[in-house]
Amino acid sequence: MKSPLQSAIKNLWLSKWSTLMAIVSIGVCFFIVTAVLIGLYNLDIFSKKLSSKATIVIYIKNEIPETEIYQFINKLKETGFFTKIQYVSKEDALKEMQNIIEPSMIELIGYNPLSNTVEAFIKDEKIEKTEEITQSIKKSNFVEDVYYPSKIIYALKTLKITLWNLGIIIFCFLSLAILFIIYATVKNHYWKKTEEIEILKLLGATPSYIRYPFITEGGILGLLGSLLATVSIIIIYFFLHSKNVIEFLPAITQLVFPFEILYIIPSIGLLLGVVSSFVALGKIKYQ
Amino acid sequence: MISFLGVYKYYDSTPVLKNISFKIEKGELIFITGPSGAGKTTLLRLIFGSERPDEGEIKVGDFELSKIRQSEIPYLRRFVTFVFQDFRLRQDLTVYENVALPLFILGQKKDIKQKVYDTLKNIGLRHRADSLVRALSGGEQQRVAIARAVITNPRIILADEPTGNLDPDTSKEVMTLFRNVNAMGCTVVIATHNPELFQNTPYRVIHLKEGKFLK
Repeated sequence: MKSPLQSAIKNLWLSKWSTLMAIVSIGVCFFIVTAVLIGLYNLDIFSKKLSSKATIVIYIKNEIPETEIYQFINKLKETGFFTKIQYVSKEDALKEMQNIIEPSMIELIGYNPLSNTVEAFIKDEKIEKTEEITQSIKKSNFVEDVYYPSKIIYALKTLKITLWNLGIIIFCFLSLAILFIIYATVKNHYWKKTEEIEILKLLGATPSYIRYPFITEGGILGLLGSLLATVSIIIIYFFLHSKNVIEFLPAITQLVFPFEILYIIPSIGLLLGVVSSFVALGKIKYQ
Repeated sequence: MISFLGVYKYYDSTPVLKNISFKIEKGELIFITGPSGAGKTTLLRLIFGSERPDEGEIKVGDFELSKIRQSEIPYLRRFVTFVFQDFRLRQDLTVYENVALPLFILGQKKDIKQKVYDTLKNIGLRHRADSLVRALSGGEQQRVAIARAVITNPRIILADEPTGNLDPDTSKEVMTLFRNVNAMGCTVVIATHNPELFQNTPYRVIHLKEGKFLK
C-alpha cells in the first residue's frame, strides 16, 4: 500500500502530459511574477538612491551673521531629518561660480550676487516628509528662500506607486491563474478516482485520509512550477552577468538580484498548491 | 446493539419505511427479508449512516444516527462494516491489498501481513493473495469482500444480498462464512429475498413489505 506521497507521484505520473502542461503553465506564471517582483525591487532601490541625492538648498538672508547661521544649522541637525548638512558661504559659492562663468562677467556686475546657503541631505526614511520639512524651514526668519527638487521626487513617487500597484495586480492575477491551474488538475484527478474514493469512504476513511494524496499532488505541482520559474530566472541572471552581455550593457551589473526568492517563490508555490487542491476537493461528504 | 424506534424514511415524499421499531442484540445473526422495494436496502443504509431517518430514532452502539454528524460517519463505519452484492472491491488491487486496505485506513502498521494472511486462510483464499481481484470468480470476490469486512474486527457486519450474484453452492459457502463470523461474537445483519438462506435456521427473521414489518 502506498503512502500519500507515493500515491500523489503515481497519480501525477499516470497523467504525465497534463501534469507537464500544468507545471509549465505554473512555471510561466511564476516566471512573470518573479520577474515583476525583481523589477519592482530594483526600482525601489533605484528610487531610494535617487531620493538620497535630493538636497534641500536653503538660501540665507544676507544680513544674517555667520554665528547665527551656525546656530540655525545646529537646530536643523537636532530635527533628525538630515543625514548631512553643509554650509556654503557666498564667497565659496562665488569661487565655484568663477570656475564655471567667465570671471570678467562677474566683475561686470560689480558685487557678489550670491547668497549664503545651507545644503541639507534628507534621510531616506524621511523623504516622504520633504514638503513638510521645507515648509517649516521657510517659516524661519533666517531664510530667504528654499529650493528642493519637488517635481523629480513627486514624479518618482508617482512612478513607484503606479508600478507597485501594477505589480500587485499582476501578482494577484497570476496567483489566481496558478490557483486555477492546480485546482483544475487536482479536481480532474479526483474525478478520475471517484470510485476508489467511494470505496475508501465505505471503509471508514476520514476526510483527511482521502485528501492527503490530492493535497500532496497540488503541493508537488505548485512546488515544481515555482522551482522551474526560479531556475529559469537564475539562468537568465547569470546569462545577463556573463562577460559578453556586460560588454554591451554595462548598466546590467547594477541590477540587484534578491537571493531570498530562491526560497520565497518555491514556498509560495507550495502554499498555493496546497490551498488550491484543498479548495478543489471541497467538503468530503459521506453517503 | 441496534435499535429502531418509530423510524420513517421517505424518498420524494413516498414512504419507504413506515414506523419501524425493533432491536437487534449483540452477537445476533438476523435476516431481513421481503420482496424487492420492501425497504431492506434502505434499512441497512440507515444503519450504515448512508441515509438519515426522516422521523424516529436509530441507535447503533453509542452512535445516535438521527443526529450523527458527517465527521462521525467514518468512525461509525469502523464499528459497522458492509458487504455489498456487487462486492465494491478495488479491481486494480490484489486480494491481499484489498483486504489490507481497512487496516491502512485505521493507520495500523504492525502485523498487517500476518492479519491479512490469517483472514485469507479463514476464508480459504490464502493461495490467491497475490492475484488481482478482477481475476477471481464472483464467489471468490464475495469472500474477499467478507474478509475485508471482518479484518478490523467490527462489532456489526451488514450484508445486502450477499449471495445475489452467486450460484447455490457458493451461496452456501458464503453463508457458512457469515455464521463463522457470528460465532466469533460479531452481530450480523443480512438482507436477502432468498428464503433458502434462512429456512430451517435458528436465526431471527424480520419480514418487510412495502416499508412495514410483517412479523
